[in-house]
Amino acid sequence: MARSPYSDLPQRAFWRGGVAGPGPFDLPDLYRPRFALTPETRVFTAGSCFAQHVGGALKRAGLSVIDTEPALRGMPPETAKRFGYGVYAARFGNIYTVRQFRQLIEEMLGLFSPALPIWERDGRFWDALRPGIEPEGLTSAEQVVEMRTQHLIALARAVQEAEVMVFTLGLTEAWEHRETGTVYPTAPGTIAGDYDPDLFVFRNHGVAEILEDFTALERMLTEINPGLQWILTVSPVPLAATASGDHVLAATMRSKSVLRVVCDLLYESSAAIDYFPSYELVMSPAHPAGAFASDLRSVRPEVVDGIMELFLKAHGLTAEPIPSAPTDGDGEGGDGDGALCEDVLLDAFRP
Amino acid sequence: MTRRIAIVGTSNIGAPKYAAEQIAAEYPSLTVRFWGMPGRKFADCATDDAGVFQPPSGDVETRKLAKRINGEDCIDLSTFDATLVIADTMGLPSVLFMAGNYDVIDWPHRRDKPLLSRPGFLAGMEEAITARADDLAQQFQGVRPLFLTRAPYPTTMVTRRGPLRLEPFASVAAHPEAAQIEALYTKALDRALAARNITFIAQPAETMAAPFLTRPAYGRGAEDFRTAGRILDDHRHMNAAFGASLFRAFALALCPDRTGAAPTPQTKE
Repeated sequence: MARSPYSDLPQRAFWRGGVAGPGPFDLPDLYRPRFALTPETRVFTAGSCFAQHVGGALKRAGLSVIDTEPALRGMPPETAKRFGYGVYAARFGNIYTVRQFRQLIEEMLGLFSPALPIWERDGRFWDALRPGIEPEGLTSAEQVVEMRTQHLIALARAVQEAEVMVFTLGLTEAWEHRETGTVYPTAPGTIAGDYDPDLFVFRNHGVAEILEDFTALERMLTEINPGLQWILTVSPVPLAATASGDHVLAATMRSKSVLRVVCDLLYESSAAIDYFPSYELVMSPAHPAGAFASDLRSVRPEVVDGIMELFLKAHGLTAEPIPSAPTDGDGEGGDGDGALCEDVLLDAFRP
Repeated sequence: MTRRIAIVGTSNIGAPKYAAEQIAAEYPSLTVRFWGMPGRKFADCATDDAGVFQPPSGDVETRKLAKRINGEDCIDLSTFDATLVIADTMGLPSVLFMAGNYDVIDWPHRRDKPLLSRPGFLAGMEEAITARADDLAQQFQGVRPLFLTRAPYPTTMVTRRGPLRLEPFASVAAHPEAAQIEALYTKALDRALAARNITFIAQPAETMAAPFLTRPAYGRGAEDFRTAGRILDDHRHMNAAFGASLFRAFALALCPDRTGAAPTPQTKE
């Protein structure tokens, strides 16, 4: 037989046997961690709504997942989740874009002051930078400021404690304050506030901008924690809606592709940055019933479980079993997989 | 016409049970039957399709216990004109821990606790209550009319240091918003039960020393619901005087359309 550069390659290099053949989560050596997570590792989780699964799985695996704004004794679990307690390292809600994360850390360090940080609707007031964590808003603008001050202090504690950042990149599309560049996690007018085209502008971040944002973010955090390591993932959850002018399918592919390229460039740039292919695991054609629920957007709970199990197994960890999630595939909007996502609210604006 | 009343519940049925003579004297038109089980065992009991409240059919030990305590291992609630359930704490510990651990941002006082929004506090309260209300509604499915009172608040003795101390009641005793919290809790519990066709009977005001706390006099001499004469004095279970007061509150809530003319006490204190 003639020699070929492929002749000595392992099973993982070939589609047949690498993807076709094994089960969807039995892919040989799909993920080889660059560094180990141990039960003692202090992990900071953040990102788009898919990141909620990561934090939950790490907690069940007994890792030291940072939570500086936890649900204190007495707060029942559904309320805690709905109000953003115990979901991420602090109560910052979903962070969809790298720019949003950068901005948050700059604000924490006193380097940045967001424009129009308080949005109002029907006499209630929302923190425009994390509107989802108070679903009913607050009584006054002063309360929003008081709560945010408390939050930024808690965030600083979380950042100081962190050894590994697990960050799920979700979106490239964002709404910005035209004059200052302040980005918001939701479009104005979705949860609160009002869309004024003279004040807000749509932005679809590209690879270069996201790399610049991440580099600035990483630099700030490394100054606080010199040994900080990163695990990046890309959320597989499609866009609920796009303002790009493209079809939402094309816009989704563009967005995820950009984020995937960013992850690859960052992975190649630093040994302190790892990448976990949760996006690939969902998009893999190996799922016999498809990876998405009937809304074609929520990842089926058993797929989420399989992904997280694969992640933990690669680190030599196992998660405690969780109460069974619904498996009828009837996910409603963005929280059909149990994660709370603000962007699903955009569905209400459909024609 | 004599109407039949069932009082079913946890160990807290001791208070009205030992007030049975007084109740009979005050309400001669009512006959009252008591049936109780210790809290955890009570939670396993349920009403079958015929309206018989009983332990799980295969649980021989619990059935034996029920018979030993009550003379019968079950009670047919379909034969009664009204049922009063004396339940557990109905989500209150969660509410009190939340109140103790957070400062609700809408309230004027700050105790250097983490801030919690009022909607967050109310949502937590509702979730804690809903879980219990759903359980109770399931447990007494089909029983009408159904009244419910929660376990009595412990007495003020539990706020003191020592063996009787009970958290979270002790920590909330000095809460500047305790009265408001109690009003919110009572309203939320009443609403949750009404949505399930259950009438809530609040703890009588005359028995209250402070929000969430009963006057110590009602805790003295409380007897074990299983054994007459066995004094508890734990200040979590109440005595016959409390039971008589509670029954008066229940009797006031009995409406003519449910049991005939509303009964009135024959004696006055």
